Amino acid sequence: MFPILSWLVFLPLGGALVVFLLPKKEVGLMRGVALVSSLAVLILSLRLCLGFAQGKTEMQFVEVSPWIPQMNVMYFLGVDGLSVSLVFLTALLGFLACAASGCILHRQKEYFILYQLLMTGMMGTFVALDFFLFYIFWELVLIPMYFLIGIWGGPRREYAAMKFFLYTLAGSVLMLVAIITVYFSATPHSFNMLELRNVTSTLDFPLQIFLFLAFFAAFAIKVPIFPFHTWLPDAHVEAPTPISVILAGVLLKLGAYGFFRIGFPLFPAAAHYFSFALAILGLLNVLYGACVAMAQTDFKKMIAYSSVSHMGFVLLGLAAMNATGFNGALLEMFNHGIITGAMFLLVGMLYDRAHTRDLNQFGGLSGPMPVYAFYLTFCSLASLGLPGLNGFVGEFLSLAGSFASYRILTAISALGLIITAGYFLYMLQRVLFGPIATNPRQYSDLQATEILTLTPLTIIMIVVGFFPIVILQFQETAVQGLLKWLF
Amino acid sequence: MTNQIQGLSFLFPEAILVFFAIGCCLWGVFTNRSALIGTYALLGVAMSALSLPASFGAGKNLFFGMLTNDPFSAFFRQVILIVAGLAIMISLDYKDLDRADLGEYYFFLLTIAVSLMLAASANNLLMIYISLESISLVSYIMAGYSKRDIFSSEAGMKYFLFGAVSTGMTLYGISLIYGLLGTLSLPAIVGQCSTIMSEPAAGLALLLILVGFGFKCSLVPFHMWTPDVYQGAPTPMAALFSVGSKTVGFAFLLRVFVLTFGKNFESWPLLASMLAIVTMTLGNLTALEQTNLKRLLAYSTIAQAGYIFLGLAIATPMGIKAFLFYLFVYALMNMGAFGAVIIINNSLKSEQLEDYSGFYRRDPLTAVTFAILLLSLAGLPPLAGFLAKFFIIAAAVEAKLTVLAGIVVINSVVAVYYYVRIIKFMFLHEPSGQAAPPGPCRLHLHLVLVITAAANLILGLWPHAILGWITNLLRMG
Repeated sequence: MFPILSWLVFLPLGGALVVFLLPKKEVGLMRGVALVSSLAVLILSLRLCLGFAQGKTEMQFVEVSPWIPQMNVMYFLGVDGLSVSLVFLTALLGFLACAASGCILHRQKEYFILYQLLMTGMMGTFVALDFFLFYIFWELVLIPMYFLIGIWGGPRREYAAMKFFLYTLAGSVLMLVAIITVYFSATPHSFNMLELRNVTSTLDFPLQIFLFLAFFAAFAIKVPIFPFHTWLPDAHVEAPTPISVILAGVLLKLGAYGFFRIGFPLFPAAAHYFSFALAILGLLNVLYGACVAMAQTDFKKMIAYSSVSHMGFVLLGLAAMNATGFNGALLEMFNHGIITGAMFLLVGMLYDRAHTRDLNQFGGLSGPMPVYAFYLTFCSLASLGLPGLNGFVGEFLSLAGSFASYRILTAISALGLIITAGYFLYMLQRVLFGPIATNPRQYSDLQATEILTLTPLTIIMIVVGFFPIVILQFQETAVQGLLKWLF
Repeated sequence: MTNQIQGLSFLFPEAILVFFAIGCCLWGVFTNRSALIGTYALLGVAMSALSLPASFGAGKNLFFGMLTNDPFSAFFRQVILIVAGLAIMISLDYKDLDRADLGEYYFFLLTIAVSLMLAASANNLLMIYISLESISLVSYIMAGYSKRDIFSSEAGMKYFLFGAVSTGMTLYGISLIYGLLGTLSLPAIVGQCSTIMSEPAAGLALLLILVGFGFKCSLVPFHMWTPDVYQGAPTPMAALFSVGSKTVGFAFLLRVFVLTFGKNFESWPLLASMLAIVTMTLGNLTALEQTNLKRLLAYSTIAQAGYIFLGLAIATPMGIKAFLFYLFVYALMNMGAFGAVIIINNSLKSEQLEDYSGFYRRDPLTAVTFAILLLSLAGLPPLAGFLAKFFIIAAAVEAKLTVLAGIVVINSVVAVYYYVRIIKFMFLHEPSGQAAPPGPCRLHLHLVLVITAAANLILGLWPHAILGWITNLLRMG
C-alpha cells in the first residue's frame, strides 16, 4: 500500500533538503521547490480525504513498524475523523502561506528550509499515534518556529520568538513527564496512544487528575487558554505574514486536537471532573479575547485577540461533552483556521502597502481598493459569525452543545458574539470607510496572485457555511466513538 | 603469577598510549611542527582504540585486585579514548598553543588519557586515589599551560589549590575506611561494609571521599573552580576536563557509592538526589547570567553533571542505564561545543557572547553544527540530548520519584534560555562592525563538529546501537 501519511509528513522534509542543496542565489527556484512540494502535499491530502472511509471509527491509512524496540517505540501513523480535516487544513494553509511568502526579502534559503521543516512537524503531530513520535513532532515545531519569528519578524521579533519558545516548551515538558508516567503504567510498557486509554482510564482518580493537568498545561498553552495566552499576541504580531497564518491557522489547533486525541479519551474521569472548569475557561476566552480585541489599534493584534476569543468557542464545545458540542468544536477549529488564515493574509497585504498596521491611520480604503474591501468585508463577516458563512455554523453548534450542559454560562458566552460583531465592524469602519487616508496613491488594489491566494479560502467559507456537512461527515463517526468511550 | 601476565594484555591499550606519549616528548625536542606531532598522537589513540577490544579478554581481577576488567571499565575506557581522540583533533587547530613546546603538550595529553583509563578500571581505593592524583597533577599543569596568559596561570593555581584540598579530604576518607575495615579492595569492602555502616566514622569517611569525586565531576558545592579553570585553561584542555575528568569522577562515584556501598549506604539516594538537584539548578541559574561563552559552557557542564548524577542517585538498573547513555552523549555534545568555541575564537579573537553576532554569516557550517550541539545540550528532540534526558526522567518516574522528574524538566526549560541565547546571537543578529573575512578552513575542527553534530542527530533517532551496547554491559555486570 502507498504510505500516504509518511509522504505527507516527509515530503516537505525532502523539499527542505532540495532547497538546502540549491545555491544561495536561486531564490526563484527555491520558492518553486517549496511551492511544488507543498502543492504535492495538498494534492496528497485531498487524495487522503477522498479515500477516507467516513463510516469507520478505527484509524485509517495506518502505518506501523517498530522503531526503537528496546523501549517499545513504534513508528505509528494513522488518521481518523478527528484529524483528517486538520490534515487537510494544514496542507491547504501550508500551500497558501508558502505562496504568500513573496514578502520574505532576505535569507530566503533558510526561510524555505525552516518553513518546510515546520510543515513536517505540524503534519507529523496530527498523524502520529505513538506518544514518543508525537512528542518529537510536537517539539519539532518549536525550533523552526523560533527562527521563523526571530529572523523574519517585526521589530520585537527576538523577544517574541524567545517568549513563544519558552512558553510552549514549559508546557510540553510537563506533558513529557505525563507521557512517561503513562508509559510505565502499562504492562508491557507502551507508547501506543490508542491502546493506552484502556490502561489510563482505570488508573486511580487522583493520578488521572494529575496526568490530565500535565497534558492540560501543554495543550492550554498551545490553544491558548486564558491566562496562558500572553505569548500569542507577541508571536502573532511579530511573525511575518505567512508565519502568522500558520501560527493562527494550524498551531493553535494542535492544542485543541490534543484534548480530543489525548486529554479526553485517556482520562475520561478527569475530563468529566474538569468539564465545567473548561467551560468557564472557554467563557473567559470568549469574553476576554473579544473585549481586548475591541481595544486594539494594531490590526494584527486585534486579529490575534480575536483568535483567543474564537478558541473560546472551541473550548465551550469541548466542555459540553455531547455530540453537538464536539462537532461544533471540531468544525470551529477548521473554520477558524480558514478564516483567520485569510484575515492574516489580508492584514499582511495591507501592511505591504502602508507599512503600518495602526488602524487609526487608515480610512476610506474602499475607494482605492475595492477588491480588497470586498475580501476584507467578506472575511470579517465570516469571522463575526454571519449566517450563511462558515464561522456561524461552528459557533452555533458549539454554543448549542454547551447550552445543553451549562445554560447560564452559555448565555453569557453568547454575548461574545455581539462584541465580536462590534470590533469587526468598528475595524471595517476605520479601515474602509470614513475620510480617505493621507496618501491614497500607495494603496494599489490587490494583484492577481493575492486574489488567487484568498479565493480558495473564501470559497470554502461559503461552501462550509451552506453545507457544513462536507466537513461534519468526516468527523461524525469519530465524535460518536469518542462519546461512547466517555460515557 | 599467570594472573599478572594476563593483566599485561589488559594494559596493552594503555601501554600503546605511554609509548606514543614518550614518542611525542622526544619528538618535541627535535621538531615543533604541530600537525606532525598531533597526528602522531592521534595515531596513538587510534591504535590504542583498535587494541582495546582484545584487552577485554583478560581475566576479571588483575594486578592483585587493583584493577578490574568489568563491563563498566570497558565502557569508560572506550568513552575516554573517544574523548582523547576528539581532544587531540581540536588541539590540532588550536592557535593559542605555544609553538615551542608542542611535544610536551601532546605528551601531557596522552598521559592524562592513560591516567583516565587506569582510573576507569581501578578497583581498589588506593588505586583510585593514585589515579585521581595522577590525573590531577597533569591537569594542574595543563590548566596553566599557556604560561604567558595570566588567566591560564590563575586557572592552574586555582585548580591546584582546590584540587589539593579536595583530594586530600578523599585520602583522609579512604584512610578512615581502612581503619574501620582493614582493607581497601572494593570487592572485599562489599562483603564487610554492612558491619560498619552504623559507625559515625563510616558516614564521615564516605562524605570525605565524596568531596574529592564531586570535585572532579564539579558537583555543587565543589564546583567553584570550574568556571575560572575552563575560562583560563587552553580550550582543548577545558574540553578534556569537562568530559574526561568528569567521566572518571562519575566512574568512581558509580564504583564506590553505588556498586560497593550501594544498599548499605541508606542515605545515598536522598543525599545524591539533593546534590544533583542543587547542582543542576545552580548551574542553570548561574549560566543565565554569563556573557563569556567559556564561562557559560562551564556552568552548563555543571548543570549537565547534575542531570548525569541524578541517574546515579536513582541507581535502579534504569537509572544506571540512563546515566551511562547520558555520559556517552554528553561526551559527544560537549567536545563538539568546545570545538566550536575554538573555531569561533580563532576567527573572532573573542569569547564574549555579543561578539558572536551574525556568526552564521561568516561560517555557516560552524554555526549550524554548533546550534545542533547546543539544542542537543538543551535536550530538544530529535537530538540525542533529548533521549538522554528522556531516560533520566523515565528512570525517575519508574522509581516513583516524579518530583525529581518535574525538577529536571523545569531545569531544562530554564537551560533552553541560555543555550538558545547563543543561537540567537549567531543567527538572529546581524554581524556587528566590519565583517572579518571567514577564517581559513580548519579541517580537523570542522571534522570534529560535523562528526559530533551528526552523531547527536543520528543517536537521537536511532539509538539502537548504543542502547544495545549499554544493555549488554549491564546484563554482564
